[in-house]
Amino acid sequence: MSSTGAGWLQFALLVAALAACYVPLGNYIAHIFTTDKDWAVERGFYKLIGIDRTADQKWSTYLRSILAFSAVSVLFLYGLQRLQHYLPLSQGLPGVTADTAWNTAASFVTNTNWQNYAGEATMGYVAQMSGLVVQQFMSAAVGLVVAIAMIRGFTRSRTDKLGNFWVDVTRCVIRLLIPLAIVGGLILVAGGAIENFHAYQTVTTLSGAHQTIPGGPVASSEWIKNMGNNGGGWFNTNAAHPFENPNPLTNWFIIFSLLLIPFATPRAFGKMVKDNRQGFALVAVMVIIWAAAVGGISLFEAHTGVGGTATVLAHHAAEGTEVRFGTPACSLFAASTTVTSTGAVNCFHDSLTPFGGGIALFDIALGEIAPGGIGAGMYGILVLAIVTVFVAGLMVGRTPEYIGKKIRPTEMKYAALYFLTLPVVILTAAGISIGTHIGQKSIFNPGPHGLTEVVYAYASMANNNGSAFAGLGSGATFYQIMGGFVMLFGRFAPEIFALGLAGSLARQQPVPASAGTLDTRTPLFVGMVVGVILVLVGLTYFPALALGPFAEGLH
Amino acid sequence: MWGWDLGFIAMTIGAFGVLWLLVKGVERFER
Repeated sequence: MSSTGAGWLQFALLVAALAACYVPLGNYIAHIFTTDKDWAVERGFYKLIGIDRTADQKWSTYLRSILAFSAVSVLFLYGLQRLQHYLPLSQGLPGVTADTAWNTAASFVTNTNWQNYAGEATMGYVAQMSGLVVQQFMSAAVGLVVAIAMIRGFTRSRTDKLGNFWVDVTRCVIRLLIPLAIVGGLILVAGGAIENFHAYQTVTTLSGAHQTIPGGPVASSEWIKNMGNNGGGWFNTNAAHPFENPNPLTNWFIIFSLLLIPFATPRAFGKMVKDNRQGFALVAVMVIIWAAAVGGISLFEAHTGVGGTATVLAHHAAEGTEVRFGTPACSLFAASTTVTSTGAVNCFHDSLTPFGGGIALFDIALGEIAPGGIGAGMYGILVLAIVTVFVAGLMVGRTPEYIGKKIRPTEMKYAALYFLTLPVVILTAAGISIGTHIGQKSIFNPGPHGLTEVVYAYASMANNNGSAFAGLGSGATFYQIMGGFVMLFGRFAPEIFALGLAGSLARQQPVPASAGTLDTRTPLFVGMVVGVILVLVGLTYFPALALGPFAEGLH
Repeated sequence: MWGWDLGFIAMTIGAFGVLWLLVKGVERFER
């Protein structure tokens, strides 16, 4: 079988596996957040931290809990890295430098996992396990519970209470993430990923050179890293490293893991609003955009004539591609990691063809909604669905309603603020970096490619993706600090507007559907949401895309 | 190096302080 055929077979198997998980996993997620029954371990934990599990929180209290938890997490993670040389199993590595430690702390708490360091040469085992991996669970849980709180905005009425953050996050970790991470970690171990506490070994190669072989509890980190849409990697080369991603089978499971929960969450949404077709409509939007991204990147990476002379001669854009997986698996991974907010890579995105890289950038710029990051994709697409019913209302005179709630000026202000936050953060940071001497010093490629690298970096950080084009010196203190702020504001500011919107919806009395209500379960609505997403993103980022990847590709 | 540490701790508190104020601002907008 040709590698292209194998790539499409992998895609077909992914669709089948994700479709098989959609109903059971989505139903289970809905059950976790709607049942009144606590597990004994959860009751013990609530008692330990002094939580009244029956006390629902107003949206702003829910948010303040998130902010307080995240601020403490950043400070703890920062201290852990700075003091790692005092920790056991540090492999003789020194404390992480202050700017890298802060950027990394902000990165992991925001579910971004942008890494300005090589994991195996910077982080000891305890810093990774008790700091970074813990945040891979917690930041993913925070994203999902924000989505659940937003869904409660539709399911509740005449209240401003959206649930209890501490209860939601505890249930999410104990009932969903830990069990799946155990199963997934075992799959990777069976596939050959390493899981040990060995000290680094120095060996002599056949040619007489010395080589250091790293170890570590990699498999257990790898699964939650991907399933939680965290990204990055235990090793600097991420999923291109044979200890992290040993073979095509583990590669397929890794791609499956990063799509699993985001694609099942719309089912949980449908279940919670008691109309499964609503969830089906949103997952259809996600599938259309994901499939288009896979097809687009695959086309440009595999098709000769669009990547320059070397690509033509090689019949594929093979530079920067891990040869164990090949160009099709690289394209499938690149599309899947950028439409979710994962950011782990199995090939260098900087080596993608200009248009292939442009699609990856466009995927991230979409705001991580197709299917998006764990939870973040769900609340993102709900905001865009609200924008769509409003636009439909303006176009054809329908009453702007969604899931029985009126979309009034207040809701639209929240939606507009949500949507505008990320472009403001991304384009302002990119503008400052390009327009100042200190920012220009770290842009190693001139012209359109350099511009793409800068915009991609900030789009990736603000959207909590974490993948990077190489060629930008983001380890410079300027980029470490700027990036830390971009990640913090890119993560939490939209969540403020999303939960504010949810609070506003929850206070409303539901309105029954009438003849003037737009049916949001039809293919027409699916098409409209896709159109609104493409037009909004296209208009917002068109100048940057035109001057970056388009200019480079057409050169 | 302690200067850098204090600076980054202050930046963390400052960033979350701004977000905290944003929540407060949105609450005021609601009323």
